[in-house]
Amino acid sequence: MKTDLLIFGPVILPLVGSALVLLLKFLPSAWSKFLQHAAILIFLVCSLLLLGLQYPLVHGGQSLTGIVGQWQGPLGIAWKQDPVSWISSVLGLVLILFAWLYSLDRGPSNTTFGAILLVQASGIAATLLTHDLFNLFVCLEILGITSYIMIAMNKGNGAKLASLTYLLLSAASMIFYLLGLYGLYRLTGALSLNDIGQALTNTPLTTSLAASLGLIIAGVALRSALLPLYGWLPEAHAQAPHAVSAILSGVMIKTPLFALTRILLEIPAARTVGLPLSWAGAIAAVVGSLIALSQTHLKRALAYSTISQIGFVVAAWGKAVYLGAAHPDFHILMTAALVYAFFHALYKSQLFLGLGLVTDTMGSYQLESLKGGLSRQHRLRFIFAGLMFGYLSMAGIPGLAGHSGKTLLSFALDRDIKDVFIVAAGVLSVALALKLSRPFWTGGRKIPESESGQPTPQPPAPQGLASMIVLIQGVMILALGLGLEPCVHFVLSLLGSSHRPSLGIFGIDAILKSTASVGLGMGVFFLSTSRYGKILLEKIRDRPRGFEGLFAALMTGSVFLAAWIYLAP
Amino acid sequence: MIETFILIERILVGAIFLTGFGSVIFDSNLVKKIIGLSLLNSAVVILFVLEGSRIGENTPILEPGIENVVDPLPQALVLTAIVIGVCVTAFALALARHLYISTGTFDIDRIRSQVHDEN
Repeated sequence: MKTDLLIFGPVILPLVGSALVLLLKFLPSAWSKFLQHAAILIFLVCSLLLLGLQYPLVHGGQSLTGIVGQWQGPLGIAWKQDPVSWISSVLGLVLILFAWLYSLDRGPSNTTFGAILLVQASGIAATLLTHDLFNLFVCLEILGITSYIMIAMNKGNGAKLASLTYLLLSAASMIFYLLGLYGLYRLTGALSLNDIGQALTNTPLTTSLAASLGLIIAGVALRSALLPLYGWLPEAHAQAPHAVSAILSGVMIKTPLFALTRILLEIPAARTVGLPLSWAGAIAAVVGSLIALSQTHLKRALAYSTISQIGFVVAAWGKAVYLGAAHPDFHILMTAALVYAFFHALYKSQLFLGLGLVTDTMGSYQLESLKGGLSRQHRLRFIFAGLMFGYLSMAGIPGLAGHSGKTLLSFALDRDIKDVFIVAAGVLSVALALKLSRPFWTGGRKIPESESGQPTPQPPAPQGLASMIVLIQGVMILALGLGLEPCVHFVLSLLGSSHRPSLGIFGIDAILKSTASVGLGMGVFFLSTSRYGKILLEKIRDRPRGFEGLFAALMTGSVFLAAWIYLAP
Repeated sequence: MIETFILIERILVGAIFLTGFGSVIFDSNLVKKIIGLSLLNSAVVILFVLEGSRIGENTPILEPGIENVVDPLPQALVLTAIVIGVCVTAFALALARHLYISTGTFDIDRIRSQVHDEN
């Protein structure tokens, strides 16, 4: 009973907290807002503490199970906390906590935002815990609805349009998911992943089974923005408030991915899609970086970079799933995916939050108009000190999370040809880091003058909590980067593996690789600023895109996955 | 005869699905897109109810002597799907209304070009 309560805690606590925050809004007292903030903080921290209590129960590849409402058999909804879901839940809560603290300073300042954030925290935990396909549908919808609301909280029509586009596409993908779920239910008479897996063990692979699995996997893959289903992401991430962009980029696309792990591992026929997904990840890593380099809108560039980075994670994750849990390389590949996901979440959210402060101060998202202007803002120099960690991490400088993550990925992929894509994407990331940091290192800009001839007053530079969050995240990027080996050993022991690899982030190989990557990246950056480079990047930026294309990608993805499952040996 | 009815039902459900899907993709009017989404949702709900009712024969009230009952689970599941569908539709309409008030149009292409100019 006690362990049952423990497994439900991270889902129920934030939900109770959310209801309490909304109730506290009705308090007439001047303390109301303080109490709401205190409630949000307490419930988020308590959820994290509960996850801490679960640690000994999931350590060493163990899992913690519980059945909602104690209903056994096909009616009960089984929940299972395993090491993969535990790490992903911790990542989700840590990032949500950072984003909420940032929002106290820079908005959205409404406490309703905090209440929705708590619902999202609950949804993330439930999505990762559930072992039931219909329950997963409900959890994904909770994640979706909270995301649509939070994106639309930003001012301007762009945020509303981005939210609506995401909603339409995401709702359609969930319809696909439901169709697939129905197909599986007709074939197996079960919704629990365990029961479906068992029922399908001796069932021949039919077209309806392959189609059902294709629809389900494509539905979830769209939420993780896997190639080619990423079309909704750039606008949603670019138009959202900064705190929300950080959560969307850091957590929201990784949660469905790690939830998909269970479906693929439990259903043997579905596991084969790990291979094409892994390739899609490797290609997305390069394509995403290239499109990011072509962007002039700062947050859009970061959003495309997220598509690239989720590609890094999927390259290792897909291979792990394809090989299966019994394969000796499974643990190191899954560890690489989890650790990289954590590192990326940290440095990308820092860049979103830090550069959000910069764009708010300068009043523009366009890199051209930011150029040179920052040298006048002394406070922004303080933020730049924090952002340096994020930039250098993106550029793959040894000792920081980005380089450590890439070293781990290369080690895990072990001379797989996909490593070439990872290296190429790393070179493009260096160029992108240079491009995004350019406002800080280019020369001074003339102070814009008003009609009266007087200099236009500059908005006040940010200070306080938000800047502190950016700096703390920067220090964490450094600490985790330097502590790669302990991190990897911790995750491996959590997954139940006795393998303790030596990674050597400061080894000759790693330093030479990093130096070559930085050199080539600088070359690519200078090429991108040349006349022909600009023309090429403009063509990439202005490539035709449309609403129809997003749906075409969803349909093509579903058909391809179904065909792959059916035809794979 | 029954097989013919089943086939006709399936064709009709397919037609509703395709109408909704076509509307979501090709209609430029936001409200029509949202109606299309609602149609898509309805098609799946009808599919669950129709096909689910064929798993078993008798009313699913478990009393002595009653066997081979209709599987109640698909119908129970779609209740949740309907509730979620209503929430999503309501929020989508709220967003569409907001966009209409600030841009004066429901046409997604015109809204997109206005947003592009804002950026």
